Amino acid sequence: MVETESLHFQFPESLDAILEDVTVSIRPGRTMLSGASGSGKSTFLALCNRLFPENCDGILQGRLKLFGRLHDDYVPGEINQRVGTVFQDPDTQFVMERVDEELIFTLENLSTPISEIERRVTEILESLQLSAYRTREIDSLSGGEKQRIAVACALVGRPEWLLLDEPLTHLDPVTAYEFVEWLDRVTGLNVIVVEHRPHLWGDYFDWHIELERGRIVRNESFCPVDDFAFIKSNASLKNPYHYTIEEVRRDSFQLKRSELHVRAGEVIAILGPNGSGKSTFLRSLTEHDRRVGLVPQSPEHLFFMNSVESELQFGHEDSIESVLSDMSLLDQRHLHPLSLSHGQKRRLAVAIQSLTNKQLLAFDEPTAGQDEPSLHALELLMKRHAEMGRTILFVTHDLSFARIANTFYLMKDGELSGPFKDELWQDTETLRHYQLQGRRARCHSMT
Amino acid sequence: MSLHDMNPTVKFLTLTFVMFGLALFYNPWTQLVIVVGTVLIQWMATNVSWKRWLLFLIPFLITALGTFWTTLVFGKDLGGETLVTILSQEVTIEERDVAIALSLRVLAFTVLSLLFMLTTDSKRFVMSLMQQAKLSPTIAYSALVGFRFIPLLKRELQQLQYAHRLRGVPLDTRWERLRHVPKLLLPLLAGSIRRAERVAFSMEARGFTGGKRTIYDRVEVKSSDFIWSGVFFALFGFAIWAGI
Repeated sequence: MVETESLHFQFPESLDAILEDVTVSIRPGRTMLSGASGSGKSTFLALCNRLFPENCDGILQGRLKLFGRLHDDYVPGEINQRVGTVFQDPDTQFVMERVDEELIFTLENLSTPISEIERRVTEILESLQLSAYRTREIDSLSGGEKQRIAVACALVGRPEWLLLDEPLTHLDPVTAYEFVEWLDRVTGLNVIVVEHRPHLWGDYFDWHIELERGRIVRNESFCPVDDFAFIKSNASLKNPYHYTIEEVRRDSFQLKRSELHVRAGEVIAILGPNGSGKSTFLRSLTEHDRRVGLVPQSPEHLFFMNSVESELQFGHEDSIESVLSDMSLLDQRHLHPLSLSHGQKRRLAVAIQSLTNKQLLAFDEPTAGQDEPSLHALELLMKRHAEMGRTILFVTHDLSFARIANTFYLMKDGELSGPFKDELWQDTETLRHYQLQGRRARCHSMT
Repeated sequence: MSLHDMNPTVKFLTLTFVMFGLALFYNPWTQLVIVVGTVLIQWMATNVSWKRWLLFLIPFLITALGTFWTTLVFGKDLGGETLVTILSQEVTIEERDVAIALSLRVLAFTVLSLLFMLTTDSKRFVMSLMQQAKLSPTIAYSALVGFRFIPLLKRELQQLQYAHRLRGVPLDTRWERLRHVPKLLLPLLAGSIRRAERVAFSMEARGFTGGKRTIYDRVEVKSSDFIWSGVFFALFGFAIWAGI
């Protein structure tokens, strides 16, 4: 479908090329495109469905052929009849309120005759086993359901290829696993998937292309891989203390009151699927106790000043110099906090908390959408603060990353159970009960 | 033949015409007939919740009373026979009539606007504008996406306030929250721009170019729409007659 020859791509405002000398030919089948953030994989995908270079004034050199035709021979919208795309964020893919309206919107765009529309909607929903969703409001669906609807919308125009841009990022492991199984079952299509956590896909793919800083470093048939390995924190555990998590009731949901006994230097993971009450738990913990500092899933939510310096200096008179150098933010001290990279934002958020002498640092879903280097940076950051005598707590559904913790708690329907130690990983019964593992684990090396 | 089913564009044009027309008449009877007539139509031909209607009406009711009071007491001296004396201002019959007319006009505009607002589905209005008033699909669908963004924006605002409160920003009273708003605008804007870009990409990837497309859900102009227009024009005519 895609053939490139010494493809070179860059944005006009930057000196560095996003893609450099890419010569590749993607054949029919299922291809995974992997690589770290900034490796150019999403850009490559955007060139495949012609979102780029049109929308970004990007500079493209070399040759790019789509379906045997030069890419700039296509008129706007033409390629989208043959290529369907699913994006990462379930919340920003829809225009209409209801599932059927969204499908109709897509069919209208493709100038489908009105007499056919009704039948096409029924057909696609049936073939994807989604008929029950036909009149549901999109906003009432879960992340995993939304991604399935996004696939339906991408396929309703009967494309020849389906492109997916990190579609599992916002899903918990069981939902992600079920999504992959479902996709495997319902589509016989040619697929290109951009992904930085290949293990989630098991043996779904035929071919694997990997990019590193804009160049192809792997182009071979796919073999299932293990996830990145994370090593347990070995900070020494000191004086114990405890927190009380107050009960929270909201609509039909109830977070039960619980006591959390922790020790300085301990790394704690709270595990549970989406919607199990992990975020409510964190909220209750952070709201009622001044000893707790929070790093939100989007660290920038903490920021409201105009520079890194004033952000760190907010609310106190202590010196910020040592924290600045400790967090490697010296060069960024005059920058606007919102202009930092994700890793820098996270370090700034942690820096803010360490200046206010928090005993416990709580991270909300810190791994979502992170690539391998970024995950390891996070691992180091957490371990270092544990060694400094803080307690680290994070909620996650990332079972691989959770391995850095000493202690685990499980969350389901607002009820916290634990503590568990490493034996948890052998206890498939419990993991299944807490919807952390599917019926068969895909390529986990559980040691 | 409920007013809810009336074609939104025709309804919009009709009511706008009546409102512009009203601006030309000073007589309180004209305004009063429109107010009473509109409320009667709302009572007979819609299932609008009167509680909601009243809630929306409150601020405008206050405006109307304010208009009445200020015109009465501080209005231009029109001369004539003195009716009463308030705050050492002499109020004449002419002045009283102008005050009533102005405040009734505020009310007439309000009940007409509320009638439109409470009987028109925003999505159908946009669809109808696109089909009958040749509004460009790019603008129409952007508006629809905008509606969907409102709850997302609200959620993000709550997350920001929560995070900032944890950092020690006092946000407990209304005034404190209001004072903090400027600091929230930039992050909210940044988030919205990012979301807007993603939606735009997603729309384009689904073949939305703003160019040729078919329309499945037709919002028709029916003969009953013109009957409704007729009803409003008749009411307007009657109101003018009542004022002479």
